[in-house]
Amino acid sequence: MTLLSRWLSGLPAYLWSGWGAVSSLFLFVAAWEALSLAYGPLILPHPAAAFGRLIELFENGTAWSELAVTARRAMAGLALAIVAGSALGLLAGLSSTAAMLARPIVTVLLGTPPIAWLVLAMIWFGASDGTPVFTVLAACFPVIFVGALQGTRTLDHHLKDLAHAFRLPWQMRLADLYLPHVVSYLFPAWINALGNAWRVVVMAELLSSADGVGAALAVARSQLDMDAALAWIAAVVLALLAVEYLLLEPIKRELERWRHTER
Amino acid sequence: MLRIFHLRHIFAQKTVLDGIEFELTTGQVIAIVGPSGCGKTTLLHLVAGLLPLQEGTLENGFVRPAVMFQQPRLLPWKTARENIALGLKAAGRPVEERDGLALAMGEAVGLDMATLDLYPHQLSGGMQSRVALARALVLEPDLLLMDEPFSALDIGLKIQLYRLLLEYRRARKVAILMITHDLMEAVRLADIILVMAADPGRFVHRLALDMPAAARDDDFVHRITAEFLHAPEVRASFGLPC
Repeated sequence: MTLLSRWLSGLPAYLWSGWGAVSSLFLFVAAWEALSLAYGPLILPHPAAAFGRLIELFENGTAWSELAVTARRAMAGLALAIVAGSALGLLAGLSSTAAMLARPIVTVLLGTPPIAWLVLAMIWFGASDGTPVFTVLAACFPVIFVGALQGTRTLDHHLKDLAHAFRLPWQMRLADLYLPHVVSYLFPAWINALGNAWRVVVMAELLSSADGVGAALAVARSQLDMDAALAWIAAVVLALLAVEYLLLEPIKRELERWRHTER
Repeated sequence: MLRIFHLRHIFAQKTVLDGIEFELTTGQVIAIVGPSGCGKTTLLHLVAGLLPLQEGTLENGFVRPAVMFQQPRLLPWKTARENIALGLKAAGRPVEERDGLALAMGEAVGLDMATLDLYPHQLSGGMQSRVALARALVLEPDLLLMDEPFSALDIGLKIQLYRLLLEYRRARKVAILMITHDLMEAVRLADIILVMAADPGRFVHRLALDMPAAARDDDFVHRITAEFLHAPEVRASFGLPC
């Protein structure tokens, strides 16, 4: 409850601090407009046309339903990756042998491009939801795994001695020592993974699904409907920014208050 | 009381401690001095139970030990007050009680209310050491183990913290085993000073000081430290020319 009230009360100041970001985004839109005026609407439509189409898509409801489908897939894959990556990463971090074994494998997984996973997923899961969900899982898992692994591996042995010397029971070691430390590594990894999930799911849908934002982009491409294509891109980007900066960033600030407070 | 006989400790095929024997009784202060790397910290960790005993006897009759480490080792995600209350929380004391005790102890070591609500990274080194001292003292230990706790502080802060420690000791009978490479610190605080030499770590000299620590003034400390430094065993242990 205090968390919620602090989130709400901190929101105006936080939004106010976003003016710098907003003005630089407006510069970006201005550059876009200049390019569209120079090359014509067939190459790059005017921003007003793209955003007009976006509003239209929201008004007739297609945007909401397609975004909901895409979000469902991205969140399903992300949730699986968070559960599996955090749990396995923490376990691997507890043993130095497991950590040594896991590192090269994770490097391989990190280096594998999501498009490769997508090809495999299309063979295994066909046009079902399984394809985008699996691709998101494969793309996000190693990022989260590494975060969890580093979180446990970097736990200062000095703090372990402290826990022992002050006879902390295991619940306290977990809640007061390991979790706060690990969360400071895990949470950024989760946020990275969220961005990844959102990008990868659109790509997966574009190539494999009949609905969702990615599929809508594919339709726009086949009809050479530039307004719609840019409108969908804007929808994806805005949705991601909204989740990241309105929800996750304030939570992160709250969780890491001990780190950021000014002197 | 604490009794140690024939203690030997080997780490990575190197004998770190050999033939260690001493006795620490209730309310007594023993300082172990010696050069860096002579095994002092290992000995303290053995007494604190942070390392398993390999050879010898260690009888520890104290029931409420507390440790003050070389660095403050505060939890960065907890405020000063929560850090002080850490051991109380571990002992299962209720929130209001430990909060009150932490506040009282924080004030006793010279931290005000506003400071107690800050996080460790917002505190100066001296403040952090005070928090670490309060965290140990708030447990009302009967044995306090200190590993060069003041070595990173300037002389003024050191003397302030010595005073706090001596005041606390006068009020409650706490036995202290402290490790230091600062001879003046040992002469200022200890009833008995044991000098350790390296390779393997062993005691080579013992000095008992009869004057109560609270009555020792700067002149006394300087004079005794100078005499102490003339003892050949002490010079040899620190690698000084005889």
